Amino acid sequence: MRVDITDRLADLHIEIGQETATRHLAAIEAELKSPSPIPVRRVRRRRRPAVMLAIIALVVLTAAGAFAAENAVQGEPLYPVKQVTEWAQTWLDPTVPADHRIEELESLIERRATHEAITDQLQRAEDAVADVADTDAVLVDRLDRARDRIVDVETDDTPHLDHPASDDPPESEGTDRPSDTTLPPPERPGDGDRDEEKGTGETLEEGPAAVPPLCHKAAASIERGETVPRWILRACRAYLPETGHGTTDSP
Amino acid sequence: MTRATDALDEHVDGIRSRSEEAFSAVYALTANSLASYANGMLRDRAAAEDAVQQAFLELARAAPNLRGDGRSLRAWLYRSVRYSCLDEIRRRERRPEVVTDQVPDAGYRDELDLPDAALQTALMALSERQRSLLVLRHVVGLSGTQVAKAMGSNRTAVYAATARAERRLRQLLEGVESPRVAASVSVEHEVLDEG
Repeated sequence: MRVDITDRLADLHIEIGQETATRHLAAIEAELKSPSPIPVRRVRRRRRPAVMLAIIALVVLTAAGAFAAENAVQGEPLYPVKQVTEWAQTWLDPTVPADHRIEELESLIERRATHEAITDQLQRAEDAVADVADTDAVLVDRLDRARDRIVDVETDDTPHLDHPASDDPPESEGTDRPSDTTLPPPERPGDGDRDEEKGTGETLEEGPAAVPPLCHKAAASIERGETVPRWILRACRAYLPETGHGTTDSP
Repeated sequence: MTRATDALDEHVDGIRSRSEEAFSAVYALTANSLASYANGMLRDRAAAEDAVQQAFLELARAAPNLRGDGRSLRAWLYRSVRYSCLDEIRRRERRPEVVTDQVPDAGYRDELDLPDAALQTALMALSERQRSLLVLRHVVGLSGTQVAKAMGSNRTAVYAATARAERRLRQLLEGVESPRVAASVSVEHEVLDEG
């Protein structure tokens, strides 16, 4: 025998009596006359713009900080920010640290930073380039050019009392090896750049004081029998004695 | 049922603005159904009426935040009554009934007042959710969608659960009325409880 649930459950149906309904409505009316509580959602809505503004400010400040730190070099306050963003960028492109180190080196060169600062940065840049598993030819080329630029700058700076630095950049810019043209080696007149030397010969006759300190150090290192990087040998070949170092490493 | 929902639609704005007329109208339209639902859950007329009053008092407090149409308002009320009933059930579990010589007042209705004692016993054996589904569907007369909304569930799950609850209630009713079936039902009950 199938039990009819609906019929039997109908017994549960009740109706609220008039007296009870009146009592209920009086209670509801009293509740409605009491001060309206602050709606929870309205409070949330008031907070929402503040939260959104805080999030937007955080994003904007982070982006601005990262942007401002982009050109920072070692020792500057924003450099740690740059390191953090660099760490994140390295996940996407492993050559980013090397690229940044070279940029920093170029920046220091342009700012005419101290020799020690440039040398330290050069070391960091070389390490960073060496760390790139697949050494990028572009990075190596940029590093080479930066090295040449170091020699160029130091050569320009040494006689800076006679040659204001502002006169030099227009001549040196636009060539890959400015040191070959602006500072021809007086001891080796037979070298290939003779025609260009003629054009600048007058300024170079001012004296042997034009030997840059980097080349002095290189000469001293060679005398002590220490190893000198190839790029220094190449750049200073005009100022170094005719040794095996100078001839074998020159291109 | 659709007509009642449409009627609630007209009063939603009034409820949001805490209008006494709107509350009176919604009370008139829903109070008996809500009370029947609570009665099915609690098997106690006085407690059921209290649950209805409690739901409307909460509605008065939450009215400015109310969203949606009349159907949402109806579902909100049923959910509120359901939570009140659950609170009452938990309260009863924490505070077992004590035998007393005191005579209850005139308004008090004991749960044994239910004329169908077998139904009373069978309902007691159901879970709260099953009881809730059956009452909403068969006593209040809500559609599957409305029950789903009131229970905060989806329609498919509600249909399946309601079918299971109906089957179980039938078995229990047959068991209560027929001792032979009662044994099998009680075994099944134990298995279900263990599960």
